[in-house]
Amino acid sequence: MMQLPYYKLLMTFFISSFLIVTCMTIPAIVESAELETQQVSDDDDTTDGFEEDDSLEGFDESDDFEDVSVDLTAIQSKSQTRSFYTLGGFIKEDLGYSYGHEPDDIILSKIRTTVNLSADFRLFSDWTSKIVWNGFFDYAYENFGREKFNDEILETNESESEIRDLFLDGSVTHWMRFKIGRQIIAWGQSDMGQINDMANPRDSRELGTVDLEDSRIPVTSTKLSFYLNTWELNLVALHEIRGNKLPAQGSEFDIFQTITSNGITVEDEELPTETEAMIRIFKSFNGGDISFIWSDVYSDSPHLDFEKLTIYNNRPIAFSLTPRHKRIQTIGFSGNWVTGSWLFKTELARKSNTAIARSDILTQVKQVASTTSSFTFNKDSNAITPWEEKDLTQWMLGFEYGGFDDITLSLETIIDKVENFEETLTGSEMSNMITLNLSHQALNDLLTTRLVWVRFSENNGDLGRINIDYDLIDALNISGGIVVYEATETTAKLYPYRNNDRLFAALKYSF
Amino acid sequence: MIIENKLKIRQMVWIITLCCLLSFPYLVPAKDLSAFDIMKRVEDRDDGETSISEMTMVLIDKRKTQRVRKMKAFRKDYGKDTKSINFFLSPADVRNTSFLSYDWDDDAKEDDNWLYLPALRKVKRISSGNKKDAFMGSDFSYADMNGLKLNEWNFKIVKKSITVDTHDCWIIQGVPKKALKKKVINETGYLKTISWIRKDIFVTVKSKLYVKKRKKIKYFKAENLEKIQGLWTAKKLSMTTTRGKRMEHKTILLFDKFRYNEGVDDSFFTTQRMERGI
Repeated sequence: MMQLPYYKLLMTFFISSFLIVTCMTIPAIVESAELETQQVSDDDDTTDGFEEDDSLEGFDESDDFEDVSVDLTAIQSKSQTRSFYTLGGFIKEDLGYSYGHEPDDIILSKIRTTVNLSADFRLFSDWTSKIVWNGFFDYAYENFGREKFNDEILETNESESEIRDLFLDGSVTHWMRFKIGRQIIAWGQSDMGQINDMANPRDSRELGTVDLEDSRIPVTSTKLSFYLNTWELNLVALHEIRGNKLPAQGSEFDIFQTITSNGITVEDEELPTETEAMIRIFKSFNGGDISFIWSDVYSDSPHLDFEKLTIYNNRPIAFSLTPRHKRIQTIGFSGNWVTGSWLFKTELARKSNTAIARSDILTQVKQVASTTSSFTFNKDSNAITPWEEKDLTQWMLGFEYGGFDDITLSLETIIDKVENFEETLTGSEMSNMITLNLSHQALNDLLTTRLVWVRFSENNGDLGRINIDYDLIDALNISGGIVVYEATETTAKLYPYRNNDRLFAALKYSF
Repeated sequence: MIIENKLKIRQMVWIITLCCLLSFPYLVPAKDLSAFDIMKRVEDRDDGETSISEMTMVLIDKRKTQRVRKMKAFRKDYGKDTKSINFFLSPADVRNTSFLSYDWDDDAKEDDNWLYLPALRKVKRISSGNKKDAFMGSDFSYADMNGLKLNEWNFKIVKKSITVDTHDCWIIQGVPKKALKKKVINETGYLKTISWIRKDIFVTVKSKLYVKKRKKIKYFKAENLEKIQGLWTAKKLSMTTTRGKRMEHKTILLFDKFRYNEGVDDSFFTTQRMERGI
């Protein structure tokens, strides 16, 4: 086993941080020192600092930079002519190498080809339409032997074909806009958590490896927007209920593996069908934006509901749970404020009727078994209570700083507080997650290095990721990096994934 | 990844500002103008109430490899305040990205900037960032795009007459004022500027910019000057970054389909418009 130890995660993080911060600060220090040592005259008249310049004539001389020949006519002639449609998309090849796995496990965990095709249509006046299809096939499973994986893994990870966006969008009047179809509605300020951003579920099949831009899943909905000066009112009805895309049972990121390892069966997920609703009031002002949000939607993450328990001779012989989605009501606020190179952001939400899992499920099963000789309890019996309904308060506070040369730094912390917390519940009354994001650009933006570090409180583990992106030519990008999971305590959230460290690489061509 | 890459886009709008700095009504040169007066005349040009243009940016590295970006820009003045929006047309990986900016004349007010990233389907407010940074990988810095704050610099005429492409020019040197030296250099990255100003139309036709960091020198050129709807407009701008007289990188900006004072609807300068596209 090649698990990366905790200290290596920290070293990876600190070395990367050190390199980036060093690159960032050394020039500043040198410049500062140079400035201090510069001789300046005491008076601040209009000739201060001038010198006889020896380079006035140097502009057009022998410097080879003037020799760059560019066929500007050819470049300009490529100018796109407007038509009623635009076609585009990308082809991407992903490789993943899970070096932390046992030799018998799949090591080359991803050899995926993704094709994305999109078409934008300008229909009439201010009306537009868009359709995006996305599909992938992962050769890793065939390469490693499909018979070694269960059907769910193959169904979830080996291939996919779906219509992502498919909508009609236009203005009814200058103060009202209408958008209907499969779409993404991105609200809120957090880049990591779903606090008020409740419309679209996320692709959670590979924890920490998918960027937010790729993880939101479009849903069929109707959105009405009304505008008055700098105010905006959005009314949304979500007709299609989709949950988060979860890792397949038995896969390396299986979120139910702790449950199933105790002999509990997790049935297929059940999705509700009732329409959801969301309202947002948004205002933009000089230096910031604020939003007030109300929603009545199903949680994108399922909870495990009691399905069936069979007792035989005072012993449980079959126990199953079903992932279902709880309808929750949210009232929230989000805002940001800019000053200089700083952007401060916050989100607050009060979520009613969330489902919090209980930690004593097996104890309940034993108690039921001890008082029952032989019987099968179905879901209507409520023999087992796997979760409790609680209200949840979520608060995000964060900032982005762009004052360093070619570096963007952002930090975000999300605090969850379960109201009326009980000892029988999993987790704790208060928990938090901190995310650090450091991005450095070099070589005239050809090269971007990005470090993401996520820490879960209560020793629930750390996740670190380093990405390096390089633009080979326009629209052709090569990237690579490493993602590391660290958890030492067996009860930690990330403990089941501690061996899933992965090296990855990708080649993407956009057209 | 996209977020960080595209944060550089936010100051793209200042390209248009810079272009406008180079478009002037014809003004008769005055013999007794001071260096500051000349720079002020350069800054205080009429750039129209509104402008619409298409721009091509060519990025050239030292191996002469080229990258090309295309965008469409809209600008509108509201008194002394300016609103502008830019839509990216290509390359494919940034297509439909847009940047909206409110540039307030009042220094006490923060400029408002938003970025729309189509991959995120989200309008995101962004901060002004570091003005020394290059934007979109070009050789123009944010400070170049925004223009220098003239009252923070001392200017001196170092040559009263020199001919550039048959046009009589002044050569004006600028250095940061002593009291503001550290601040100005930190903000702009420049130790000194030398500008060639055409006397007949008050256009900066070329500049030599001394960069503090790594002792680079940047060469700016404005070419293909045309009078469009009565306003002098440079249709080609270039900036070459050199170090030790070797070219490190070069950017050429080509402007096309310039239209002034044609009326741009206020609804263009809204975050809703960013989501909808051109």
